[in-house]
Amino acid sequence: MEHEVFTWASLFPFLKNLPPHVSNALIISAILIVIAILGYRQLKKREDDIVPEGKLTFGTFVEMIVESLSNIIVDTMGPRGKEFVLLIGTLALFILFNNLSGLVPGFLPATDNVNTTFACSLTVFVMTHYYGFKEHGAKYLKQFMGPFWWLAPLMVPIELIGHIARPLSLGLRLFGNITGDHLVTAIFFGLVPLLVPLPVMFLGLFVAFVQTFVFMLLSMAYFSGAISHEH
Amino acid sequence: MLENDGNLMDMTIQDGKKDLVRSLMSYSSLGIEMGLSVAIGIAIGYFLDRFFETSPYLTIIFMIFGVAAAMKTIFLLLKKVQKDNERDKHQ
Repeated sequence: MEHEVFTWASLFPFLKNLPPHVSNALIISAILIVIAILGYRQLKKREDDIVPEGKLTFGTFVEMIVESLSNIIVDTMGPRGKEFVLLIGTLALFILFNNLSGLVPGFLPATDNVNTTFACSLTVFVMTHYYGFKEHGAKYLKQFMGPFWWLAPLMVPIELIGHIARPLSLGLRLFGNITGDHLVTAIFFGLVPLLVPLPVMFLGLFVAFVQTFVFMLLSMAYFSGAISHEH
Repeated sequence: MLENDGNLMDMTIQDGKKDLVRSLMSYSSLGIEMGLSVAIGIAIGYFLDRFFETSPYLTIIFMIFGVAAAMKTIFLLLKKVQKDNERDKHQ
């Protein structure tokens, strides 16, 4: 397979020289921004309407996506989840669209590169501790010391290792699943391009949604652990 | 009336399925996190050993810490599951 692989990114002159995961992430982000702006303009147009529109339009569709995302987050985290809808929802949409872009010919999903997934998981890692300090102040450090003060020398390394393992496992799982799926699809396409890759692609669709949901669920668990008062 | 009952039952079944999927997803994170905890412990110990030139003691100590961190992950998950179950019973 020595020939040049076609990608959509090669059509844009300024994206051509970037590595594929960066250019694809940029394209996906641009698509998301366009969807957001169009949805916002549609929503603004019928801001004064009292009766909601009966049929499914682009605006109601965007509204539905945002509403279901925020419902999932509030259901899992409780009423405090509203503070995290922006962060987790953004990450979820970015990851979901990137995962799904792997099924479109000409796209290399950005999430099959470790750099992208670790960027997402490190964002979650830094923000959990930011919210932890914001919620508890300096007392947040007490969470690392365990129940008794004389256990602190034992508990601090354990907690540290546990906390470092979280973003690593988040990023590694997303990367592994998407890379594996993409690779299997590519290999099946190379072997038998007719109909055989279809079940694998269906599996890829499933994996894309499940991995997004797992990422959301775990980051929600970490956030609620950081802001909870019992320990 | 009957229709309503049917809907109610459907909803509870669906909720149960949703909970099952949700808990399955949180269990699926357990394995990779346990393995990584031990690996991170060993890595920290190895680099500390290189820094202080105390090979192999710190590697062994931090490996034990890593195993303990892995156990703590299970413990926290178990506690969470217990809390969820109790909350479901009260409802």
